[in-house]
Amino acid sequence: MSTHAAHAGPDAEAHHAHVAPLWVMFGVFAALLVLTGLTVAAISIDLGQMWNVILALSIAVVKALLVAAFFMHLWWDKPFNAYLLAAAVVFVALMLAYILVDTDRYSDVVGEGDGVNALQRAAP
Amino acid sequence: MSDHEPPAPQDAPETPDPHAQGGGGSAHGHDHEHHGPDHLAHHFDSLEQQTEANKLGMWACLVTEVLMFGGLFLAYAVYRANHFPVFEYCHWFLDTKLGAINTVVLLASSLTMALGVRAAQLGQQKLLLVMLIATFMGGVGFMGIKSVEYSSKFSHELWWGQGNLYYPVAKKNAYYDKTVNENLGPDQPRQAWTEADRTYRIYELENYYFNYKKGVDWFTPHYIPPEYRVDPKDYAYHGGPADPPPAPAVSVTAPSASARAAADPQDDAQHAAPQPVVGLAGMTSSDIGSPAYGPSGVSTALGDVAIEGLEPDHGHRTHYTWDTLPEAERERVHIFFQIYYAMTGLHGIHVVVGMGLIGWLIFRAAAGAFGPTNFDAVEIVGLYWHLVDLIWIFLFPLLYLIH
Amino acid sequence: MSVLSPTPTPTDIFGKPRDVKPGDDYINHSKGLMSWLLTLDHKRIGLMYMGGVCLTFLLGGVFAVLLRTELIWGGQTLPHVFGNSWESQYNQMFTLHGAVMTFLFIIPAIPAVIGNFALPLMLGAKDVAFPRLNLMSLYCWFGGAVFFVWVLVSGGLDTGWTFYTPYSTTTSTNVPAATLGAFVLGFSSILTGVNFIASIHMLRPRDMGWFKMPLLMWALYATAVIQILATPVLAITLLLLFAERIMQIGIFDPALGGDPVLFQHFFWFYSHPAVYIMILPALGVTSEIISVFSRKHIFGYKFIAFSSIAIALFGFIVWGHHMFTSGQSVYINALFSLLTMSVAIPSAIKVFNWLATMWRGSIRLDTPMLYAMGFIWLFTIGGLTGLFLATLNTDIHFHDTYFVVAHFHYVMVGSTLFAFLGGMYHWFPKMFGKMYDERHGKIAWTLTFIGFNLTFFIQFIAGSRGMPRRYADFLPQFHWYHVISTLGSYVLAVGLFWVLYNWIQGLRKGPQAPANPWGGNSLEWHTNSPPPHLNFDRDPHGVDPYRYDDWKWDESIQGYVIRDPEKDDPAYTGADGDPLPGEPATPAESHH
Repeated sequence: MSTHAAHAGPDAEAHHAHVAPLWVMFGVFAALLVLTGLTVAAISIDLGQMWNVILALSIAVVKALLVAAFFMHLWWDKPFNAYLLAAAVVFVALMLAYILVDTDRYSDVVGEGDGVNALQRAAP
Repeated sequence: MSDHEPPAPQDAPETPDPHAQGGGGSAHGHDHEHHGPDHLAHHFDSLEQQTEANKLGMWACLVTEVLMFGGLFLAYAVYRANHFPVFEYCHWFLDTKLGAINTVVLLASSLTMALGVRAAQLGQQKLLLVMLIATFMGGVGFMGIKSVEYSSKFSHELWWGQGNLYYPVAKKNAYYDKTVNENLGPDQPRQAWTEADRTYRIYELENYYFNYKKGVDWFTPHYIPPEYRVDPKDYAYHGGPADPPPAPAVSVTAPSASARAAADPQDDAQHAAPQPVVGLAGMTSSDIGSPAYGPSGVSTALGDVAIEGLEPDHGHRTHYTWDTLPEAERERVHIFFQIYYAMTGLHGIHVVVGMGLIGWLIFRAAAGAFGPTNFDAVEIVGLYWHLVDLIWIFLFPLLYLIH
Repeated sequence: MSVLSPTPTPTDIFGKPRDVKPGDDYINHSKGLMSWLLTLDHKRIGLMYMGGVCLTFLLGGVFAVLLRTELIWGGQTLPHVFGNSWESQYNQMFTLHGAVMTFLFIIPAIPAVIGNFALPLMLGAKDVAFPRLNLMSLYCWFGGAVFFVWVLVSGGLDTGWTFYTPYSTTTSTNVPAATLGAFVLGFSSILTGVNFIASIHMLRPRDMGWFKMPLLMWALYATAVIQILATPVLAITLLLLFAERIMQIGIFDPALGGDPVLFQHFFWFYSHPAVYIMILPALGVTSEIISVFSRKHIFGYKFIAFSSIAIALFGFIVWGHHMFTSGQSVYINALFSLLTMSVAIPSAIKVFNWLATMWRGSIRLDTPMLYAMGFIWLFTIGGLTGLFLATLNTDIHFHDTYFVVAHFHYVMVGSTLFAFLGGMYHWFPKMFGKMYDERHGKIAWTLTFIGFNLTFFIQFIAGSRGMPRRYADFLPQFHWYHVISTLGSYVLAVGLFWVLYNWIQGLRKGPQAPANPWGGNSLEWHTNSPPPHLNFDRDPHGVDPYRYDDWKWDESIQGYVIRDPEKDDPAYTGADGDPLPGEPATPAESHH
């Protein structure tokens, strides 16, 4: 906490929380802009719909990590706050995983009834 | 301080003794009139503890936000995974340029918010104020662009709910019966959709949006420019009768015309032109169901209306049009828009709430309320604002960059 | 004290003095209605929650008795007052019974009443971490209650408390108000959870480690984890349902291309963990009571603590067992069946540890202990019958029968209600500074216990023979089951009114309660009854909450006082005599 206040102003010892250095803030912002450009550019590369979405989401995850770690100070915080965020993501992933598997299985019944999975159908 | 004295009989929630404990005690309350015990709630021992608790509480709230949006991401993922053609088809209707600009706007406002927190921590009152105002303006910009986007969708009848062009026709008519037709006089024509009306409008939209995505225009205008209108002849080519049917007495009017007129009253030039929709009213859904219309599975261009976007070599492996979309998926196209509006709408509500909070911070900051020992409010609102940004970071590729 | 490292003796657990006037107590700390309505004091908020929760319990209970009365004879029994038909009137009654009891009573009952009251006291804190959010939580609860009252007077609700689509999007009853009400109640629950997590993390005394907390804190912590992780999913589910209802967006409606099974996934992702929101605090309350009234250190502290966390986490991966017959795929069915059984492990750990705590303890059969022991009985029956429902093939038979009704009433009503009542009796002296009449308490317990088992045990048999749930009528062969069940419900209702009478009599005429009537050692028993506004005269340190050696019974005040090592027999362990030979003072050490 206050031990990190290396970049603080003249009365650095007065701060009881970490003050983020300026170059980190601007560096993160620049990286975010670059990644945004990258993710827009990535749609013109054809990797198949599965890999395209994985690529897009990977870039999004990197951006989110940058925002969470530096803009949201998780890098300097007590680790528990980061655990909380991680738990939230894990539980969303859990929910997604189960339900995607299940809907994929039963969509044959409630869907068009042709027995063809939508992912396979979309494939070339 | 008062460890060994009997506590003073006062009702004020702040007692001086908490500062005897914890490293934060020496950090404040000496020379700044706004700092010191005022900021310390009575049930905390030190400012450090209070800040940690506030941040922890906020993170717990952010967890709930993540899970709440998680539900919408779940709905998105389920429909995308099981009905990908719908998503592939619909991504044409979202404006990547505006989405990207909005991403940058939101990222920039996140930066200013982070700088604002930094300014508050360092006691730079003016910089804090400037940064908060900049962040607020970022929110204004985001919502402004969002409203441009929404209103162009609305004007193209890509509403949420029953107003969506792709809503199943029978349900759509039931909705119009309830909302429009029951208020009409006995001699006024009923408004109702036929499959033919709708298909025609869909072709027009496809014609326009597919070209738009190719970079024809920078922003989606609220009307479809004349060069993208589908001529009834072309429509007829597409499987209807060889000659367009003569315009019948208007017994059925597609609501599209009035809806467009209402959405864009100043655009007289567009609406002065005769509405081709009228001429199509004689078509029946059985025409649409004829083999020439049917979901052939072959990517057919829209007759002699040249739409470059539909050619298979433009970089997209598969490309669905209304014609090639599997029959069962056509009924689900509207669900993409429902999910789109649910996700961006809930996100937009969060942006507005965040702007309200930042507005409150601006007033407090203008009064000099924040400083090195009292920046929790700025930091917590900042966390919220960053989370809103973080969610948009995922919404953008998922909605606007479907490949 | 290896688990619970060096424990200060009770005489020196206090540090810096707090700003407390002599004789101050939170009830008389300030006067006037506004001092209650705008209070930030967790104890007053807990008390106001108690008032509200008991009122809604009364409301839900009235519906329950009406339901049972309708079913005492085949065909129509009650006059047809509302709804399209007497059958639809029955549908509305069971829906409102379920919705009111679930959303308004069981979910907030223990965390918001007992948790709010006891948590900062047990932590030695002055208040919860965010007192304003705590008050806001109370008003969210009232707001949600207002929505439900609106539902009551505006066409009712007949979807069942689960709001399954597509029926909930087509019925003419007031689904939007109910969804909004549950949405607002979700905020109330979330705010409580956020408060508890932050309080437990930040407001413990410096020397109260995680494993020195009373087990109720672990249970409330696990509950809070569920509240913040699951409740938002309910919120978005209800928002989507609301949109579906208002605008027919079709995400859940098969007629519009939607997927109704998806709604059940959404709903149960919250609502199954919500079952653990209901039961986990009850498990924590029971851990407290069992140990105190056995005059014995809790057995297997860490196992009970971690089993609470384990139940909370397992609770998230078993929701599909509500959907075995809903069209869920067979692969996921099998997986969910297996995972559901795994919940039995931490549940059984708790039960065995309670039994081991009681074993060779000197048990005091006071009313709280009777409720706690009743809890173990009911929870065990409810838990074991859960295994039948977790098993795929038996569930096909039992699904939507009275077997399910009996099962979840045993775990939700039997267990949670008994723990709530036991906890209320346990902390009643602390809350109000008055003692209730022990004799009436025992009579009331007997009536509730007999009434409950009479009402619901017979339903296992009726259900296993094929009596379907949610039916307004039944075939003749089920008649006697229903008669017995209905009569049992009347006994239960009498017992509950007896409890209410007992409390009111205690409040009006009860003798002054001592600071420590039961000899408990968690921090709340170290302060006055009722506690001062700031909870303690001086900042307390952490103590081993389950070490009872330092208290002795004082006949003159009818309570426990701290033993003076100079004067009192050092081997004396309280009211019930010497420690048993060869018995370690703290069995928890064995888990070090």
